[in-house]
Amino acid sequence: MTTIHKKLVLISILVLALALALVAVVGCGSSSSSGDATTAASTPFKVGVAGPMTGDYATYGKSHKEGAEIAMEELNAAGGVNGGQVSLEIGDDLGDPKQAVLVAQKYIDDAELVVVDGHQFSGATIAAGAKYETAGLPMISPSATNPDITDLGAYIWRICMTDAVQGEGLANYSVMTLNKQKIAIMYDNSDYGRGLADAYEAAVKAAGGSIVGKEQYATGDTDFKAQLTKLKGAGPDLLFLSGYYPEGSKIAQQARELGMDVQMLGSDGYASDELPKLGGAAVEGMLVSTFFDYTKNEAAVKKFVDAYKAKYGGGNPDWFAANSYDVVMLAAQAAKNAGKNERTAINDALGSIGTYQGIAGPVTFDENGDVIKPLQIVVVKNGALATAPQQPTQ
Amino acid sequence: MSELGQQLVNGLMIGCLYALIAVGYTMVYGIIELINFAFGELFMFGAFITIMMMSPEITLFGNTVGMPHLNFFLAIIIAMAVVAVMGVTIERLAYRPLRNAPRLAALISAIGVSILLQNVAQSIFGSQQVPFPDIPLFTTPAGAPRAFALGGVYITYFQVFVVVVTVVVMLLLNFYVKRTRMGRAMRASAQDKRTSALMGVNVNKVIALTFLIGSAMGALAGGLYGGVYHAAWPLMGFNPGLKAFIAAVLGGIGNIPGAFLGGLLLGVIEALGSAYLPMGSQYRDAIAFVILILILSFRPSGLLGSTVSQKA
Repeated sequence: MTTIHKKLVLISILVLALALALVAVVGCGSSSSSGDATTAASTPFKVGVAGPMTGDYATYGKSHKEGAEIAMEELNAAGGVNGGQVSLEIGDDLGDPKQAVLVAQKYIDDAELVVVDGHQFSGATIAAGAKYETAGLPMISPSATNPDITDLGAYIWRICMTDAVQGEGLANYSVMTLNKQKIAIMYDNSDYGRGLADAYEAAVKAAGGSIVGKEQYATGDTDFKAQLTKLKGAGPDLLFLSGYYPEGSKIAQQARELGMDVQMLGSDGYASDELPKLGGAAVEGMLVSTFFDYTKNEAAVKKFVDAYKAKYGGGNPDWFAANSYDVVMLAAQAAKNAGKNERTAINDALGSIGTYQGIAGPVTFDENGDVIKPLQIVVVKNGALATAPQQPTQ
Repeated sequence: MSELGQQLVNGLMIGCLYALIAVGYTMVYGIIELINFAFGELFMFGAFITIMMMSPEITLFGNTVGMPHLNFFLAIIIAMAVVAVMGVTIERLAYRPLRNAPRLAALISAIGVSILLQNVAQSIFGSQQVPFPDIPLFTTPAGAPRAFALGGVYITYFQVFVVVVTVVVMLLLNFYVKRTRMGRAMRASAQDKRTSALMGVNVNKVIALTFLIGSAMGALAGGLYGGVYHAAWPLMGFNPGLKAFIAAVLGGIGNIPGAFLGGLLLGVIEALGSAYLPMGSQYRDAIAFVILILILSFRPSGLLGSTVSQKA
């Protein structure tokens, strides 16, 4: 082979790297969906709905957008918010902090946009949240769980519990309720996966259990056998999985292919109907932490589930959709309390909202903008999620 | 000890899949000096078409469509055939018009095709992962993988099948290129397209055939990969495609046994690296690229590549 060949290969790599950068930029498209024509007289209520709408994590963005759309329709059917038509501005952050900042800037520059329903991933939320705080645009994340997020400031809220709170709850559940002592952890090395795994580890130790192994992987990985082989050697009686279901279903399948028979407990990122669909028999019996139980016998829950199924056909809404719905409804309630569709007024009203009864549980904010909510556990049973027989003691 | 054995088996498994895609890269590069980045996407289509053929029904463009519900072996052969035709079509439409253009033009065209195919797949199959149906021969009726333990090392029947298929395919291909008339035409075209043409070799036909075989291998790898990881998704081809490219460079680009060796080595190094290096699993992909840089720096012709200059 000559140097020409060597150069060609090098050039190929360079071109490829450039192309990748290009894809990342082009991927930052966005679309907006809005309700009917705005009544001229009143201020519209425009909500930024930000999440990964395309790319590997588009499935989360889809749920997020759908939940917000149901809320928009319901609000508009009831005459809008403070007389203003509700509309959504969809922002695609690809789950990527770099894209999230671009979306945030677009929202900040849009004078009609009064509140942000998002972002979804913790990394993206931290990056975008700093911009919202500076600009004074209230942001309510339906799903970003990293503990640091609400420390960004007074305009940053969330209605899902933090990784720290969930981690501690799941640790107590593992050690006290399930009575497991030798626990292994496998986590997604993202802000979310790592934050939750660390909180869990600390709380397990505090509760008297022992961590016999801790392995990590990157989001989007497909092969986990190297890590699982090591964990198998440690002989755990519970494997805690901190991450998302696309990797989780493969972890469960590969664990079985390595002859590893262990009870698994998945974090809230596993709570999706896609988990049993992708994981098949391998995820049967897996326990999963969730923030929304769609089987709940409550009028508001049923109304949402029915509207969702009617509009999007078939599948049950996951908690990403439910929390996104709750965020829009909560923001609308705050705007109504404030009496006007204005950023700072809405933010002030969020601070004095008391307890808001959402479909995914009651929302109460602490002084930090974090939510106080109960933890729920479901189990994969006959290819579907069902309420687990053993629930955490509150 | 059984842990090391298990890690080796894990690595060999991925290595076989890399090797199958690497063959496509290496054959095409050997002849027209084009890195066909679209092989990663043809690999992805191989997985999707295999799933389509195996399912009683599947969602396409958001609509549920009836499907033939064939067995895995028939399905993967159909996938190979369909993808082979796709590969030849891509060559005809996207690369042949650029045959005499600067090489970078063809390379950029290859990247364009690759992105196009990803987006086409996303609109056809959706962005979610599609589960791979269980294969009865390799799965118990309860849905558990059929496997055996060998001194504490777990091996599934499907893994054995993948290794056997890879080895057989590599031997057949090597035989075809080394011993048949068409293979000789391929080797001649790789050395000098003009002189081969003067000797009566139909170079266009040889190139089309190379794409045909390379794409079919990609589809085979995709179908097997889908079976190993129980799913297919539109972006699944990107990473294995890159790894296969590295495997091809590692083994000596243009060299079929080299692609096989490069694939296996890369798979094993990755598995052992992510298991035994500190924080190794975090750097799984980086390991492959470090190998690429080392190879390009110290032995650019690859492990089995000839050090003799092919062309001026």
